[in-house]
Amino acid sequence: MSATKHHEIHPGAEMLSAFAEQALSASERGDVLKHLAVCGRCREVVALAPATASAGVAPARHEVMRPRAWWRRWGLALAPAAAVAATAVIAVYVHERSLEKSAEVARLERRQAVEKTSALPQVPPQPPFQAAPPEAPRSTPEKTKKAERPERAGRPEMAEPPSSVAEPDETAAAPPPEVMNGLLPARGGPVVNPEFERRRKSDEALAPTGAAPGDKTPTEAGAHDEERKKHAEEEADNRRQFTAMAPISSNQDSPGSATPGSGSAGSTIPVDVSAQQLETQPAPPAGHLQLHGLRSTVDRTTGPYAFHLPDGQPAVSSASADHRMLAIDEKGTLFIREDSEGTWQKIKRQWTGRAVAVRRHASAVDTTGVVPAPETGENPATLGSLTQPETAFELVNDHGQVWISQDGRIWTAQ
Amino acid sequence: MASAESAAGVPETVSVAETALPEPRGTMDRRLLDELWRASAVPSWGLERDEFDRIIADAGIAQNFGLDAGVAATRRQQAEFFRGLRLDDLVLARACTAGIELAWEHFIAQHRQPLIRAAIAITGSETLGRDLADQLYAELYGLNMREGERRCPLLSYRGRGSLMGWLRTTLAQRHVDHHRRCRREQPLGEIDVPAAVPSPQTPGAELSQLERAIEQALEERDAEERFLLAAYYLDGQTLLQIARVLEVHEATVSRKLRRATEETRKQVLRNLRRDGLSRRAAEETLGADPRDLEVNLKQILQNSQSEAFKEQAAP
Repeated sequence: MSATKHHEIHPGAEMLSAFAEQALSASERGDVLKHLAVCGRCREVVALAPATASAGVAPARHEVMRPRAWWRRWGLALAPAAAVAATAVIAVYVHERSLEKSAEVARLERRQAVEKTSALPQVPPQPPFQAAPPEAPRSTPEKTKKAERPERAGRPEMAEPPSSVAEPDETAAAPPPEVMNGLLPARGGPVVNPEFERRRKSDEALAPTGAAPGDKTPTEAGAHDEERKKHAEEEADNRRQFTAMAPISSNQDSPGSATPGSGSAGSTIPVDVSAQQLETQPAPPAGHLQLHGLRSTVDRTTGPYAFHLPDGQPAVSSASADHRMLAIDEKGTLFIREDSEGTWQKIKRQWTGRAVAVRRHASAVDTTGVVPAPETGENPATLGSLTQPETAFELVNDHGQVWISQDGRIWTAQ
Repeated sequence: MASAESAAGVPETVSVAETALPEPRGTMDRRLLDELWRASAVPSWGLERDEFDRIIADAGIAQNFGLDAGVAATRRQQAEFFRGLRLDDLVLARACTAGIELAWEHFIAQHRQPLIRAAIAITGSETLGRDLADQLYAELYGLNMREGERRCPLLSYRGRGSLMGWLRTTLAQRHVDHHRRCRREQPLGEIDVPAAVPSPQTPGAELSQLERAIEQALEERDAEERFLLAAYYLDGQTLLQIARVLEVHEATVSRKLRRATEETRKQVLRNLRRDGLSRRAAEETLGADPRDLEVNLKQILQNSQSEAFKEQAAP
């Protein structure tokens, strides 16, 4: 080897240390390497020197041989930057999660509030007629049951004849006793008095422009109208079934064809549904007036729907409008109540015969002896009549004669 | 080679008087000197600006600003060169050489203990290490006198590497030189036995062909591969030691070593075939086992190393 000539001169300690610290230029490093390849002494020196670098040597400034990548120069800064970035990502993630959680909690709270509002039985003030007689003990469980299932509160059952509880075209008819005594609204809201609630609905149906504008929002009112339409359709179906089950054909449905005693409890009366336009008051006792209606099948004098007047007689017919409620007892005495306290006042007799029915008066109402039953709530003619703002009462005696009153106190023959 | 030392391994020292250089400001950018002056910690050692400029000029001109001899350095190249220097250590070394007590106090506080630890690590003995460190410290302090002048090894330091690295390398040089001198005085039983002479079955002509082929193959390897082969196969250094010297990973050293070995073997075969041997004959000459190349390489390098020691030992 021609290496012997390199052994005559050794690189100095500075060159060797600079070689070990990578502080030489490329040409200088090559020269040192050439010498190291043939010089065992300098190889030992450079092997010993780095091994004893426990004191720590600052990195070499010369970076000619191994230019470090640009990102390596930022190595110390990348670690905290990465930590900050990771912290930011985690913070954003936690924030998003907290927002989602809070939104979900708020949604659940709203839902629970709605459910609680709709499910909580709000005890209404005791209406005067809610002091039910002892003979109507079934009202309480039914009320509880209906309160638990408010969505079904206004729906008539198949076992019962279709009622006009939720019919929008119910005009002169007073709310049925089952509504007044036990019904709760289909949606949440304070219902202090079922009777008043029923009356308010009736008023809204008659005068949707301003009966109780502040009670419901337009959305709720629209939903309520849809619900009532739905109920009306269901009731129409029920009536059809009921007619089909009737032993007498609908052709026999005439004022004179009613079988005596058809208005008694539990009996059924065949009704020509197509001929009925409005829901009527319950029929008087059998043999008095041939009022054919679906409600005639319900015994108003007994059962859970009955309420009694101050003279102790059960009401056989009632009607309400404009915070007034009229009721007739079995003797034909007319009573009026104008306040929510339930104070009934007896109306002096101004008609002939025995009053058997009282109802709201409307121009579209057929005031002949036969009280038409409502077909559906969607009848345009009926709806047109229902929208009349003026309210009045009609009183029918046992001869079918009709008296009209605006306030329920002064009656004039029609 | 910018600086040199004698073949005996004694660092070449330069007297303070020899560092007096012509006016440096005429050849160097004054703004660069101002920048270097502001960046250094010179004021703390009590050096004046003229002394600092002279030190800088000495370091730059002596190394020709890192360029080849005869090449004139531009101001930009000068700036690059000085930015790569360890100016603080250089000025500290020069201040110590000038006998400034404050600089010596700083040097002792900064480098005394690391110097002792490095000496102990190099010698493997605390006693020998402390002796080695004290001897060097005495030289650094300028106790050695030559021709009536105090000689300080710190004058050979020009700031290319760290001052502590320079001190460690100086310690290693002295320890290796001392060890090599003492090894020649060791009993014969502890001397490395040279590799066995090739078996007499091998013809002498083929052996000479093989030696020539190996020499040519080794000469064709670049400096780094030859250093790797010599450090690993001849000095017996580990991959970790070699990796520390080159500041690369051990796996890199291993990969480069394997590649150098394979390439050297192939080159030896090519050289043998070029001399007229067939491939089979060349492989038979080299030996079927590739490890034969290692043995032959070690033998050749050992012999050449022995020749080098003989040259170094000569006065």
